[in-house]
Amino acid sequence: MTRPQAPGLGVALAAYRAMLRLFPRRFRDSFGGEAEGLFRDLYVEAYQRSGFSGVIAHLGRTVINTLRHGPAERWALRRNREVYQGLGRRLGPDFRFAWRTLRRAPGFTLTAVLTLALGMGATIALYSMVSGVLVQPLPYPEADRLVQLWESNKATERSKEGPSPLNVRDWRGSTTAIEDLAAWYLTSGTFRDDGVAEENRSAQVTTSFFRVLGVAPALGRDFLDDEGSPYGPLILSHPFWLRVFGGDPGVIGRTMELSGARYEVVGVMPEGFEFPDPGVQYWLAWDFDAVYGPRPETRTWRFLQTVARLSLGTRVSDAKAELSAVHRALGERYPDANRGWEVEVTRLHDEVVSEARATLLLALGAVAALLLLACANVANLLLARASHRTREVSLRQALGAGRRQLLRQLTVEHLLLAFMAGVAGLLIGWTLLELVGVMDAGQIPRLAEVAIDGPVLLFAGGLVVATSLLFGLAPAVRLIAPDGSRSMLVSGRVAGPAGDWMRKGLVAVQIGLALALLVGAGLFAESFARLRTADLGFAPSGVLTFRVSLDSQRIDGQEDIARYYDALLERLGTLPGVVSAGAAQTLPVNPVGNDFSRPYRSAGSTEAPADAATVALRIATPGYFRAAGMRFLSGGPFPAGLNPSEPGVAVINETLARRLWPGRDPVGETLEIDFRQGWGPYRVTGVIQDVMHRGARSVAQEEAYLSHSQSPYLAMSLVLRTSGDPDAVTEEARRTVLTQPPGQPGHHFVSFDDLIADNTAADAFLALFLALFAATSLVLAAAGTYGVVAYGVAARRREFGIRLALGAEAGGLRRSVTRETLALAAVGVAGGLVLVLSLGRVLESLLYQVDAWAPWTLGILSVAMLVVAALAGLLSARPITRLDPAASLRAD
Amino acid sequence: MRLKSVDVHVLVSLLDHPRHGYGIVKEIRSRSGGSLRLEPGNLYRVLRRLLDVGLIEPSEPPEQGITDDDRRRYYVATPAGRATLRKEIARMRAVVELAETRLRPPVGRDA
Repeated sequence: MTRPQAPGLGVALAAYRAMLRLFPRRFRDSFGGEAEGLFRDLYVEAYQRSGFSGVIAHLGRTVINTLRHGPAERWALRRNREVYQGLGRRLGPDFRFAWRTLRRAPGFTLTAVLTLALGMGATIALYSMVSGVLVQPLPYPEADRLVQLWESNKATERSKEGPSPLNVRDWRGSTTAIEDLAAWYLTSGTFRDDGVAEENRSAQVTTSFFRVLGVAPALGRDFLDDEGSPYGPLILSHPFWLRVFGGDPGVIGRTMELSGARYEVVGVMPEGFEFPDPGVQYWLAWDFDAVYGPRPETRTWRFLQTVARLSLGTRVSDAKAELSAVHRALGERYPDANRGWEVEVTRLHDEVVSEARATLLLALGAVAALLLLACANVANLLLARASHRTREVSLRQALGAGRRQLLRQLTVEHLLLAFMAGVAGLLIGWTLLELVGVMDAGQIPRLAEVAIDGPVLLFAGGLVVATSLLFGLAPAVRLIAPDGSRSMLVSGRVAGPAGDWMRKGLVAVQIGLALALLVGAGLFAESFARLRTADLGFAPSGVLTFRVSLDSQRIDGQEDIARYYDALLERLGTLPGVVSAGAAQTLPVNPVGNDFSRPYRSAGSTEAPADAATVALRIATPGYFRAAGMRFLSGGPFPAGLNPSEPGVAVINETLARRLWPGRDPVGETLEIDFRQGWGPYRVTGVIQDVMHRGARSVAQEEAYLSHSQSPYLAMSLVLRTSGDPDAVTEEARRTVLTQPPGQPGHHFVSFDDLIADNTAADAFLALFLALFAATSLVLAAAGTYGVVAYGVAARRREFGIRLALGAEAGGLRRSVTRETLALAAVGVAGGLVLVLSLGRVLESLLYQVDAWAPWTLGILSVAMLVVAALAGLLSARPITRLDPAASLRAD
Repeated sequence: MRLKSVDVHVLVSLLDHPRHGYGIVKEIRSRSGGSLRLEPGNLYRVLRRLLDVGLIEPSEPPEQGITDDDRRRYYVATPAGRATLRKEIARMRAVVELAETRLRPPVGRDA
């Protein structure tokens, strides 16, 4: 009987046979042969009909078909067989047996569970933070449609500035890509009631604000479209309502005094609503168009914050394209104000969490390394136990237990271990989250929304399964290895070569991961130390800062503002412990305050504001420079008591000096700034060293300090240099401010050092947590090394006994064991270094003035790791010196 | 049991006399003018399912059968298979009739 033949059939048939393995075994047993036969028939037929092109078409169809139907058949059969029920019936006894086994070795179980729980707890905590902060949408309906709008200017290197009110007004309703748009401006207001006066953070918002976000007040109503002309009514935050009005629903309809004016309270926001930030106590309806509309020069005042809701189905890129077209038209109509400025559209979510992203992801990576290390550690514990259990396993195999059954039993045991660790890990993770929350570590946004919820529990469940597979793999392979059955005959314990290299490999992995974490911790500790000692251009130590926001209603005209601050500063300057006092409208590294820039040009230039570079303006009193500890490179502060009608004066920083007068002393020269009444001249009285206004990482920008008595500002930040502890002066300063007519309360009392600490909170968070994880990993790795070497020494007792009996010295044997440990550690260190070097560039963006490939850090920590390993080896080899050769030879 | 359209084709090919896999594939292909091609994996999944629920059964090779390969098994529709097919055909016929009524051009347009 001959079968039909065609060229290539043999190879194709073999390939098809292999592909049939995609089908479940039962199917292959019944139909495999037939399917092969049919494949052969169709192949031959295709060949006879259309030659090789037919064969190729046939093969293509068959491959696709098999890929599709094989897995489908597997799935279909699985459903039919009620496997799960059967599995449950068989697993019950397995779990009971595993539980008994683990309980019989409480020391082992406790160690393994704790080790894993540390890694899992940290991973769960970080995962819930990453998920809650970075992944989960913002807590507003269809939050993915919310975007922020900005203006950027490539030519003058201004990026993402808050758009100007007139531009926002013209954008609104100009495109169908945006359903609606709201703007806000963060400010503060003085709340007064029955002799209470307190300064609170508040937001002036357009009446569309809550509608755009999609959140309605919990009590009362939202703003109406025609409200806010230009200010009021008010909507309160939930915490403020509880604290000040005791949660009284009757508050709706009452009027409240705010910064000297009275506004009706129309609503209370729901609990947990905290936009744009958790500090906002009330939202004041605001029609910015009524304020700025009549003033065309304000088109260059870029300071508004915006949130827009995209129309259904509109992408961010579409919105940007449409808005850009609108903005280009505006640029043609108002070239002096808008030339070179482009629109940027970014997701609100990205803006809210942007700064935390890198920090959180890095911490998650560190935690994953810790968990891996814990897995390697526990795998080694299990391997050591496995050698003791070889006898039990061989016995069970001899009694007829199949390999499959043994494997199932082991898997269940590992699952149970991982599950217990997972439960403990949830507890640890929860504690860590609470700690992070209490410390507000890293000032991570949305932390209040982070919780161990359903998805996190699901993740924890997945983690349990994944870790049990990870740490259980090596022990499972070892325990059911084919030579296991023979071991009972030879000896009760086997430290065979296979188990040996597995154990050693796992030790090397632990050492490598621990080194990577150590290096990470070292780099970030150094980076943090450098940040804290970085020269910011002023002397923050011993300085108290706070803010006073004068009510315009309680003060008459510009001169009164200047008089008020002059008088207040004079009184503050005489307080015991105060060395000097000054004020500026915004302070370095301080989120509160009014930070803004204006166009400048050299005297005699005819540049338009849109083309001119901008300078950050600081309105300051003459005493500010000394109080803040700024250093003059040339000249000095402007004189006190200047009149607005006198020629303008300015202190500039070295960056601005270099731009305008490179290589020359600018004192006495004049520059022009577009401020308040258009271009005006300012004579330079002094040059100060650059101040890092946004912290050590920021790049110095052009700065000019203008005289407060010439351009008075209502809200100022005050700076008191003290001779000792700034906190000791706080109460006296608070009283002094409140008793200064008209009785304005000061707010945000905080030392300059604390402001800098807040500015570097994310770095502190990383440095602290990495140090914590690195310390844990070092202990685990050292313990892991010790355990494995000690085990090896115990297993080789007989060999050592013989060598001692033959005249070897105990010290020499001990040294040789230590040498072996060192070799092992060297392998681990090399691996760890490769890991660190490959991650270096990722770390660098988060480091401050620290090279991720710093050879010294790497070298010192590598050596330290080797020393730790050598010590572990030396200690664990100690029993050799106590070995009695005769006794060890007699032992089994 | 509801029949898929490929089930119907396979059942139809096994009504008159037993066929093996290759026979079924060829019969369906020629009947559909080459538009319906069954690959081995697909075909045997259908056969497995129809066997499981008893709509077809293995059969002795027909006497005039080719004796080229002992691995070839023959299948034929069972009485249950015929009954199920009959029900399915009736259901399909109802759909076909309804569709034809609705697709017919509007009457009374002869001018």
